[in-house]
Amino acid sequence: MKMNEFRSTQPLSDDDFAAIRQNVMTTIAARKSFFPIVMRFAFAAAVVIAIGVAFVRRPAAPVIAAKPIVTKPPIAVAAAAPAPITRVVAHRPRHRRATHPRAQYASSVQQNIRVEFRTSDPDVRIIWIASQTPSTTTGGKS
Amino acid sequence: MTAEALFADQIEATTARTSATSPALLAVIRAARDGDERAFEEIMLASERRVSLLAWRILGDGEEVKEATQETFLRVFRHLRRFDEQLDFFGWLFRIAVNVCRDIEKRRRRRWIFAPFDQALSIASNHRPADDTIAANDDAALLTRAIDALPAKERLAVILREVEELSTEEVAAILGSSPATVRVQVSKARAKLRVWIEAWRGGAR
Repeated sequence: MKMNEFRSTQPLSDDDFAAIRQNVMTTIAARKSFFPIVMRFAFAAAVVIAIGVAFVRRPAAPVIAAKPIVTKPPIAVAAAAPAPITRVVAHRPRHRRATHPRAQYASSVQQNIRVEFRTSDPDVRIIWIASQTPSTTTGGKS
Repeated sequence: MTAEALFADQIEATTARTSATSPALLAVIRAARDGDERAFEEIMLASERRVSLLAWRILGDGEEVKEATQETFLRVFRHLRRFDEQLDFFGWLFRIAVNVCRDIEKRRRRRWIFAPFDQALSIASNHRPADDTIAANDDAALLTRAIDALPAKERLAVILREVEELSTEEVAAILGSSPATVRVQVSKARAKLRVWIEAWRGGAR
């Protein structure tokens, strides 16, 4: 058995070959005529874009106005005017210690008030310390 | 020079085991590459019968052979600039033809998978060779049936190596595999063919 006997007869006739050749040549010719058209369109589009880029005026860039430099006037210090009270500090113990109940009672009765006045002169301060005692004693043994 | 003369010239070059394309055919290829349609037609005339016979051996269906031949020459025209003149033109042409036939086979399989049952049967029976109807003890019919039953890669290897009588290196170049792989595929295919044909002959008696 010879292997080259496998489908050794030509399946297509001369007419078939002629039709194939004609189809191939027609397709090639169509492709050849199609590409120049595409190239012309591409060239025309490129020219239009180039003209558009060259001649279309760009909108003027907005002028950014320079901000006026505002200088703050120097702060005038009133000479003899009495300075307002800026801060009232009352001294309190930062940490509460465990105290004796009697001492705790006494501290609640006697409270010191410290009032500090600042004047326009930073070297001069008026500090008023007053011990406030209740007018009536509510504590004590009942 | 006529197409027949070109073809004969190339056959002589091939049988003399020169891998390069014959000078006459090379001149025609160069002319076709430069846009000469007449030269491309000469190439088609010189090679269409070999291409269609190869497609017929792979596909086994007349309509698909027409389609494969046409598509092969369109691809040849598209890629003619890439052809390396140091190589054998028919090897390059066969490579394109085999790829086209593979694509058609893939499409046929897809069509077979997605087709309704009735159509699938007709598609499946369409690509069967017409000479299947010949008596089972006819050698040619047995051989055809056996080769068609081989797996795709082994079938292509055996068609190109044993039927088209190309060298192992040429078959490897066409199939994009190594010569060793081709040898193994051909050897396996031969063994299978021998077993099947013996079995069918035995069953026919």
